[in-house]
Amino acid sequence: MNLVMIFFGAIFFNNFIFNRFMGICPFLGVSKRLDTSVGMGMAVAFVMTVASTLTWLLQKLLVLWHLEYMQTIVFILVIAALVQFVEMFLQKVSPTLYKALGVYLPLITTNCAILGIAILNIGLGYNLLETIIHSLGASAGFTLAMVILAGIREKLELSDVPEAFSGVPIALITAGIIAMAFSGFVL
Amino acid sequence: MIDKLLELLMPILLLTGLGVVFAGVLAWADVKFKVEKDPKIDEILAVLPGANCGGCGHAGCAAFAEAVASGNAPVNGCPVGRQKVALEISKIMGVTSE
Repeated sequence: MNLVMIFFGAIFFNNFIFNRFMGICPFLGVSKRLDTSVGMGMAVAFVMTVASTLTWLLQKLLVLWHLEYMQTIVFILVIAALVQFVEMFLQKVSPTLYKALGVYLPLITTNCAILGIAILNIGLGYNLLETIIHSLGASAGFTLAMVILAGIREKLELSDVPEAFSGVPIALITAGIIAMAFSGFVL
Repeated sequence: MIDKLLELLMPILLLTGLGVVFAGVLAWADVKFKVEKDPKIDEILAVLPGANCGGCGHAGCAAFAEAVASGNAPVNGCPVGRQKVALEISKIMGVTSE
């Protein structure tokens, strides 16, 4: 029951983009088209889940050796290595997606949602299983947010937006309105 | 004394160890997920100055090399390398740089 709460809580009540406001850069950058936003969501999901699992294990080691102050730098190292791996993998498996994601793929390294969840899992005192479920939920929430915005932005392309608002401004306003809708999820 | 020394050594050992492990995994992935590219790209990249100055109008030397190999940039497009580099690139591409 607790695991179910953690999973859905991370998707709706504590959505990383709409409630914690983390990972806004790829959220706005890659949400122009539905298929790239799904690809980005998958890449983030992989990095998030594996990174938080590895960092959870490494945190045990850090505590054991009294090196807690190294947390940030060790976590960033893990995330950077994973992103590099994902980049190589995508370049091989899907060159189109690799091209479409462009600079936002290496930028997952500096996506604060990923470092955020790694540190949050430690701070909330989750065990390994809870950590994995929480990361899966958070990345599902991230993908959901991306897909919602991408769907709306694809429609916006065809609609008559005032010139001053066209492009990123209307996307930001849209994101704000969705965030308000998400704040309606209260436990 | 030993304790203090260990306190200093542990973080160094930890980060070096992690670095080595990740480097090993990435090196394996590099071989495993190797993408077949135009071999000219690497050859051109090798003769370029490698300053990534962006003077040619591309994002860096790698982007310029890719553009030259695909015919989207002139062989004498590198303002830093001047004639010498242009000559070598034109040799790789099999054209004259005049």
